[in-house]
Amino acid sequence: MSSAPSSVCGYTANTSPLVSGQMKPQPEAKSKSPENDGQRWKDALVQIAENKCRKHYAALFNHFAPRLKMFAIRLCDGNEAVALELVQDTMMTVWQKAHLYNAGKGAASTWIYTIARNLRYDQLRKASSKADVISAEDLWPVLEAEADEGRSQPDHLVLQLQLEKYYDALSPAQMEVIRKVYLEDKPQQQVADELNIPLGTVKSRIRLAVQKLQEKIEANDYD
Amino acid sequence: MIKSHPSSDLLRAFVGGELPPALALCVSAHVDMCRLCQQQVKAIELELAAEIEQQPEPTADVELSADLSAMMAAILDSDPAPVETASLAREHSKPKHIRWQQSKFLLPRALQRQMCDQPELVAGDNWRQLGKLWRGRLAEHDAWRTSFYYIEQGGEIPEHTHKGREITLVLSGSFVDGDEVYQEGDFIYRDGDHTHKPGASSTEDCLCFTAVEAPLHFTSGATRLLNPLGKLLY
Repeated sequence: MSSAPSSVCGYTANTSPLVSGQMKPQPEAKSKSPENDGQRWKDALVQIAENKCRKHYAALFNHFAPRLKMFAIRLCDGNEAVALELVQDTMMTVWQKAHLYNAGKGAASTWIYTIARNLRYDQLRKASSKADVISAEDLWPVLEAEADEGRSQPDHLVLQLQLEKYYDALSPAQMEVIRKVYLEDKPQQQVADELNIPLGTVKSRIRLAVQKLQEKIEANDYD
Repeated sequence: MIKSHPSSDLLRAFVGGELPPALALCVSAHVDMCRLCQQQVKAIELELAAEIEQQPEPTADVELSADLSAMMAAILDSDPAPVETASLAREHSKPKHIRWQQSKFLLPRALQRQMCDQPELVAGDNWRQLGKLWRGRLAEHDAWRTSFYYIEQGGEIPEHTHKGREITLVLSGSFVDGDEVYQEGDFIYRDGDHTHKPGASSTEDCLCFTAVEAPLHFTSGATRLLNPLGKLLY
């Protein structure tokens, strides 16, 4: 369901190409051999995720924990006890959630930083007298289990009415699946169960329906 | 195309976790909608993360202090993290859209997560009407309040000024403020000095999300009588 294809939607934002060269890539963290180092910690996280490798974790901990501690002390305004707690929670998350790290999305150090930032935000939020309902994961999806649920999706806010005029292009069977999946937000498996058809059929009906809608919309654009 | 973005200072403060939650929520929702700002956020995260590496070299990289060795041992001995079925279920049950009469709008991810316990808001029920304007309150956060506004074409919010900051994120349609027309994804930041009379365009309805820091204060003519309304709109 999360993979609602962008092509169905009446999106307008984000369709123009990015201005290239506008974002200069920042240099990796300074170290004797930054690229090798970066790759080393990426590999370590993969090892930890796949094999719970204690040796790689120890190496990673040895490198990051002392630096993170100094960083955290600054972040926590010099309060060493709170800073240590933050380091502990961060490094614990790294150990337990390494499988949620996506090497394609950035350096290990960046991932560790964002975990620490999120934990610090939640630490402050819970300590405040009027604890706010907005959690760090709401603001910065760092540990989201389904990576494709994160920010990477192109965004499109659908005005449902814009689509409705195209529905008559669909067969009743396709429309039924589209209605349940897209309009009633039901998981595809549930739709398969309700209609007593295989999941694969649900998927193929969606694919064909989306294709048809897309053709209709494109055709309409040339009217 | 999105033309109005958070300033780079604001984005930096957002990435650093320094903004009040309601303001951070607006920035996060904009970033969900804006690939340009997604790239900026990534670049800033990389930069801030580099500060960890740039900490002065610890005395010896091979030997940990006693507190850190104990910490590592405790982590390695810890039980596997429990599977958070409750939060996963919540994640899956979160509404992805907000409804308004016959229309249905996909929400940015950051806002979806705020809607789990708000069936009436999601369904567009019990929104407060003021002429061509409806407001659905999301939440109060300290001095901030967050709301959705649905403005029918031609509708506008009477001219007012602010005691604090006001952020408007256009979710659909066109939002007009003075000579500027803002579209889906535009992030509009106003501070206390700004007097304005925003509204929907004359040809299109508008759905937006706002965070307001303090009550609006109406400034012109008879609408001053509406000042108690400022509290209502805020």
